[in-house]
Amino acid sequence: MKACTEMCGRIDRWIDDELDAADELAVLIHLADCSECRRYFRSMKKIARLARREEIEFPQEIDQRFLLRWSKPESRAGREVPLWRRPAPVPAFALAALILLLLVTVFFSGRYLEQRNGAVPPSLPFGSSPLAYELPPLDIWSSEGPAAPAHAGASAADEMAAAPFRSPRPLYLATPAFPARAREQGLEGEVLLAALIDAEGHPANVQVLQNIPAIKEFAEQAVTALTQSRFAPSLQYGRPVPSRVFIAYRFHNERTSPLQEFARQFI
Amino acid sequence: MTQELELASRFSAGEAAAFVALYHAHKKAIYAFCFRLLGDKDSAMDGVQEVFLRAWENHRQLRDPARFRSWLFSIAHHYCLTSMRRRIPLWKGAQGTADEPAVDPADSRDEELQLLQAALARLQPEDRELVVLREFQQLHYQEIAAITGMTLSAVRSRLHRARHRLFDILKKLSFTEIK
Repeated sequence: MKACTEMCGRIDRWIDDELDAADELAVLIHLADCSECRRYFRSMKKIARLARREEIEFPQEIDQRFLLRWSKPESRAGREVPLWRRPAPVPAFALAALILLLLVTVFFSGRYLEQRNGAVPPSLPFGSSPLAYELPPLDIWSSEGPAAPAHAGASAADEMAAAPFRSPRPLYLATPAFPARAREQGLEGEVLLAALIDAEGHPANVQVLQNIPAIKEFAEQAVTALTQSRFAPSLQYGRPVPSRVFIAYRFHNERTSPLQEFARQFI
Repeated sequence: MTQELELASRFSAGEAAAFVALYHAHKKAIYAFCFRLLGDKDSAMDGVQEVFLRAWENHRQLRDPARFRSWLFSIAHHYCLTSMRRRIPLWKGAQGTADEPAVDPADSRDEELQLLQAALARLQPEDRELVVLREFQQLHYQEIAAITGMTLSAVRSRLHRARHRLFDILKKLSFTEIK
């Protein structure tokens, strides 16, 4: 092969179908004389054929995993935090963060209990803590039950004006009606929506990202519900800014269960 | 192609629906690429998710929507090379030698493909990637250069070297030639 250095480049170009006719002839003559180059050439052609023949089966479960992971607020928010704002790998910082988390949890759980006891009027249907985003997705139950959480007269801008950035939060989330046809047929489904929350908290540009199974009524009801919902807009240094929100509506067809809520996930 | 260009433009503007459409259009190619480089199903599944998450997070960096595929493969290129470099010491440590193939025999269609995958697994990560991009993904040299960040002549010479190394390994593995 050492004596064939000059021809090597041409042989490669021939393998890649990039050789002109004159060089092709030179390569052919060389291959007739050189068994090692002939062996190399045949092997490479065979590899190319095998590579084209091989089909790798795509595991369908990736779709579900990826779309769920993509729409998860914690993973997305966590990945997008700039390096200098991420928790430093110093034990003291970790300890401070843990203490702060405990204080916040105690504060909000106390507030929640006060709300339940009627001491404080409810401000937001899902709590005012950012921890609310980490709640597991909730499900929608079919009709015959109490209506969705009513509304909230939140003065959201007052609460976290000091924070550098705050994600959008639901003030009023309309509950989609369970389509009559789907209820009769015992159908269930899941609809993943994306929407732009403008600086005033109105959802706009609602898009259906996923509708499983493809039942049109589910998507329509989910879009209607999201359009009717209201949000406290994202705040950047206290200033309302537009942001994107992802919400998954799950339709469970269980007649005895109360009509409730839905899953929501934010970026 | 025009439709893909339109989708890529909308994606670079941050439109989620366009991203989902592009995900479905390219997921199989990215999975196959990750599978061939990383050698097993679980790593390839993680790879697909990581590549598309990174793509979404960095959608503003896609300056030329016409080169969306190259851009996506370049993300996969960085991810796979980093993963492979991390794993090499593990192979050596766990198996005592780097000569053990890192392929799952159950995933190969036949003996020849198994042999080829075993030979690929013994190549250096950079060499393996070039062979996969050229032979399996069937990309042109220009596209490979854009993905790997190398010049065109560097791609040619390194692919040439990689092919010869693969040939040497196959000879050792008694690769059957075409008669």
